[in-house]
Amino acid sequence: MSRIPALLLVCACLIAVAPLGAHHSTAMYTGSRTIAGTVVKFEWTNPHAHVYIETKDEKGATVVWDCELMSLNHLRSYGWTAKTVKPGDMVSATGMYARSGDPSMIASRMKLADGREISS
Amino acid sequence: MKRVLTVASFLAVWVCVASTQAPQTPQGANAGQQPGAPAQGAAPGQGGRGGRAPITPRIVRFEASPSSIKPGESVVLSWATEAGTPAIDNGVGAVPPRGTAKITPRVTTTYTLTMGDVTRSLTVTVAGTAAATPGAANTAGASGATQPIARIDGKPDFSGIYGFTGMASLGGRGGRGAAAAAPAAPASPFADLPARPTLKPGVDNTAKPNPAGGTADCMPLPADTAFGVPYPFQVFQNKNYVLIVNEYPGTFRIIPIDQPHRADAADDPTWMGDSVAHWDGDTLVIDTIGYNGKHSIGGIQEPSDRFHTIERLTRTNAKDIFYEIIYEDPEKATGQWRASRTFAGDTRAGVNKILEFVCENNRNYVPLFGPQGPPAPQQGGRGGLQ
Repeated sequence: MSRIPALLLVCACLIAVAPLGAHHSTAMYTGSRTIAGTVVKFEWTNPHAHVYIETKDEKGATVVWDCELMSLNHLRSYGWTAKTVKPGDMVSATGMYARSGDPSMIASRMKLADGREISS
Repeated sequence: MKRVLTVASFLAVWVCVASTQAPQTPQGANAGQQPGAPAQGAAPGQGGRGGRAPITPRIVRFEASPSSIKPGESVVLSWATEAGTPAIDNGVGAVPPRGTAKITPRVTTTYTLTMGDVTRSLTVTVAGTAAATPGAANTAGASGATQPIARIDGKPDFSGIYGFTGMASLGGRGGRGAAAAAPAAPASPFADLPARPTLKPGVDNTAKPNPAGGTADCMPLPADTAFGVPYPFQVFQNKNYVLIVNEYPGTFRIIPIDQPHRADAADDPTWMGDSVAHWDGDTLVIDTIGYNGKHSIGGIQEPSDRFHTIERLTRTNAKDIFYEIIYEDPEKATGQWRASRTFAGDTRAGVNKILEFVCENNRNYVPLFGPQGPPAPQQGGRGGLQ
């Protein structure tokens, strides 16, 4: 077996399951999508913050997405505080979504109510 | 081939960690979002975490107050940035994304805040002085690795903050807190030890961590396993004690110097074990027994009650520490094995403490894997330095 393909294979596998932010891996998430809607709850907590965003699915039904963010200390380094989002804000979130199909994602960036985009 | 794959594995892990970390973790008291910061869109990127989209770096604010002083007076620089790794020249150095720094320029000096390709400058005028020579260190209190090593009672002082310093620290060799340009490792009597344990026949070393990751349960991370996460740690030291505090998951080790182990340490094991220290010349040697075996460390899953570590800390300059750890587990492995790395001191202005981290909202991530479930467990333990 050639060494280079083997290296690439190992790297690809590890990139897929490598720990993120060190608390847990992202192997339970896949792909990438953006959702937009209204914040219904914001949990400013460790080991991860969570923003719950109410959206409409393709049939018009209400779906609340659990958007997992980084830990608070990482978020602070991006410019976040406990008041960066609040219920009622219109926001969007982009990130990997749960393999299970649950409305759960790990958001890597968000567009806030004031139009700013921010890492998350 | 095996060695090549192993090296590739390590490199890939570090690349992954690097690609998913914050530019910096602020420890300054002034970290936080600035009210009234002008809205500015960011460049769209691709992917989610595990393919983090880059956001356009920008300098929100960079000010000096006052901007004119008399010789000997001080100025407070304040800044706010987003999505980058800022640094200020003229001896201030790397800084948190938001913060302040008190400086005392000797002559009229122009300070430039740089964050990648983005820069902003301001000039502090010192009455009766000419403008400084560009590039010269004109600021009192400039920090760096050229200063003499501080000492306590004649021994090196390891006090300081060490931690993840952003992608710039990776440089193909680093990881969390690794020095960007580490000096040569000091001599060690353990330098020739192998990097992995030699398991005794019949030992089952199958990984049994949380399928979401070995650190996903928020449980304490003993010894070097605490350095496998992208959070800083802080060392406090006096003549009789060393205290090591890990930001994640909020654990500490109180380490008496030249004192015996707790009498019941072996019979009353704990997550972090029982640590004592002594000096080997200018090297601080931390000896730890009494681990409770509920973790994975040094390539051993659930070590026995005879598991033992020896950590050796040596100052390579005024800010960096060469760290090595020697493991042994007479029940599960033959002989000793070793890992090492160099930790870079965090000398950014305004950084004087690590922050709180309380795992109050941990989740069960297993259901999110869906019907196929999480990956199967593997052989081999998770070591903090690997």
